[in-house]
Amino acid sequence: MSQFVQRRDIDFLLYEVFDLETLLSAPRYRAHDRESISAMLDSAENLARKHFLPIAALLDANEPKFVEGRVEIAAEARDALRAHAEAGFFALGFDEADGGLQAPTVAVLMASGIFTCANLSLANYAFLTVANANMLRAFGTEDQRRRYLPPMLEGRRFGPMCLSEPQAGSSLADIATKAEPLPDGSYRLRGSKMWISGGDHELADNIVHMVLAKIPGGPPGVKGISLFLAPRYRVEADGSLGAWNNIALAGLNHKMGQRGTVNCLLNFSEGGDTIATLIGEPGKGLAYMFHMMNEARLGVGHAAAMCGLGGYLSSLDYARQRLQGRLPNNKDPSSPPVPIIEHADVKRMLLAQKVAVEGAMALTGYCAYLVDLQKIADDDAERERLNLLLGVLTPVAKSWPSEHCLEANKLAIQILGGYGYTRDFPVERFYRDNRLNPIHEGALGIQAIDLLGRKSGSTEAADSTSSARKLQRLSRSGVLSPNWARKARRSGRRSTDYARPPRPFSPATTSLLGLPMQRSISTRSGTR
Amino acid sequence: MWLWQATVATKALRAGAEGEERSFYAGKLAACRYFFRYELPKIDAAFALVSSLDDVCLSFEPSGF
Repeated sequence: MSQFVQRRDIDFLLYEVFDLETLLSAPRYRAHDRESISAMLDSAENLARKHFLPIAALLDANEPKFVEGRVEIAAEARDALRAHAEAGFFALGFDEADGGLQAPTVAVLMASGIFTCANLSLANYAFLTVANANMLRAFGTEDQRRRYLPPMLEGRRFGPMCLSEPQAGSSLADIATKAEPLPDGSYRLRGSKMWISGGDHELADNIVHMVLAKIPGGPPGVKGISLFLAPRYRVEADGSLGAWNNIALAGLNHKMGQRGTVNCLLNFSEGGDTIATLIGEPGKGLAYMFHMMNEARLGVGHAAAMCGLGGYLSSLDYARQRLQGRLPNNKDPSSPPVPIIEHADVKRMLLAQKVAVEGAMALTGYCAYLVDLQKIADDDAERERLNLLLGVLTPVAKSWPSEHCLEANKLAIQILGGYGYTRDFPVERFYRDNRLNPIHEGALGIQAIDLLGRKSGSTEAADSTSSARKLQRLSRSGVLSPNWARKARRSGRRSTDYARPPRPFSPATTSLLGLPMQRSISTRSGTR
Repeated sequence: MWLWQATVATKALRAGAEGEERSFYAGKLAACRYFFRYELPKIDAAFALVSSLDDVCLSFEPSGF
């Protein structure tokens, strides 16, 4: 049994739960069919097995080092990412017009998840580059796209996100990095950026930083934040590499997990100017970043599911092989011990992992599928409806897997007992790797603010223009309670108790199935 | 998500899935049952707390730690 992928599960989601086959018949995806998607997933599995899986423990044990101002990472990492890039995985989800393969988002998510499960800290370099390139594609000028996009899609140049600073992480309004305008229209960046994954390394021939900074004299708070592109080495008009851009590596962060992903403190304009170009319009930096962030949050949720999957499959394998104890009705001490998977409590711990991991995969997969439906939608109203649904689901798709699949990793360690607590088995690494997911790309509390404060608008429920009212209208009109849920409820009542709780649905459960969850909050808010 | 997966699995079992496929779908159904019995009820407690608009965290004085 594979330790990092469940192909039957992926196919179940793509073709039986979602309807990828119908999606593939849309003109947008005409270059793909079930066979080509299957070949792509096979290729991901083979590459991950050959290049990613074997060095996961190595990269964890030998974290990147800071040597004479540069980052040293195990040489195998570069080769593995090279193989991944040469197979075309960086370009998979991009439009054909941009040099991509235009594969459906849901299939891209599943393929990237295979690499993530095999070796999360290595897959991060590709994930960040793709998110970065997506932002460049959406908001960059013609010149920026021409200079920077093709080598990123080819996986020759990587791209990190420079948002946080030592004093400002969750509260980006407080960033202090300055972008001073220069006479030729470019900018000079001054300041420091913290927690920059993939911020400096020799794994690619150049690094294309996306940097949030403030132009002096602009409005205070988020309205004064703009987005800039600053390469590690300057790029000439013909695409050739120029001088070092004075982005100095000030130090590395030594992390609990995801250790193969180098994490840096960077100083801009150290010993010379860091020259940057503006992305889009001034003052819109955060809005552009949120465009990327929605995709990144889905990716983080899926990565959490994949860490959970790694722990689940490892502990499942162990539970089938490990002989220990006898069943309660067997009083014969001379009888052979049974595999621990026979014990009810071990089955409980495996089931808890299964529901967390496969539930999380279904949720992130569904969101990616909605992105595809949005891309092929032929009217604005439909796109807006899907957008609203995605807006509500995105913070959940980031948070639920990060919380529940981390808990799954705890149970994987528990099944292995003392062995699980050693570094001889990967389950403790999956736990450490996964522990970052409730923190980065918006901590759990930030996602809660997004869901309840911004998306549900619970404090403004009385305002008829608020998203809360829109949500209520949508849920009454059935968008949040799509056909499958209604069908499921009907079939649940008809059939055996497989899918039915032991008593009638509670108000909370009913809400989760798509009825207006807002009602109970808004009617009580007056009693405060 | 689990209800959705269970609905698909129920249909596949009714259509006569056999062998490994039968085990796969039966596993999905049992997992759904687990989710509804073990996990979902926790929501009721959490939701009741949210609905009550309890202010113990909000009003707690930092000097009390």
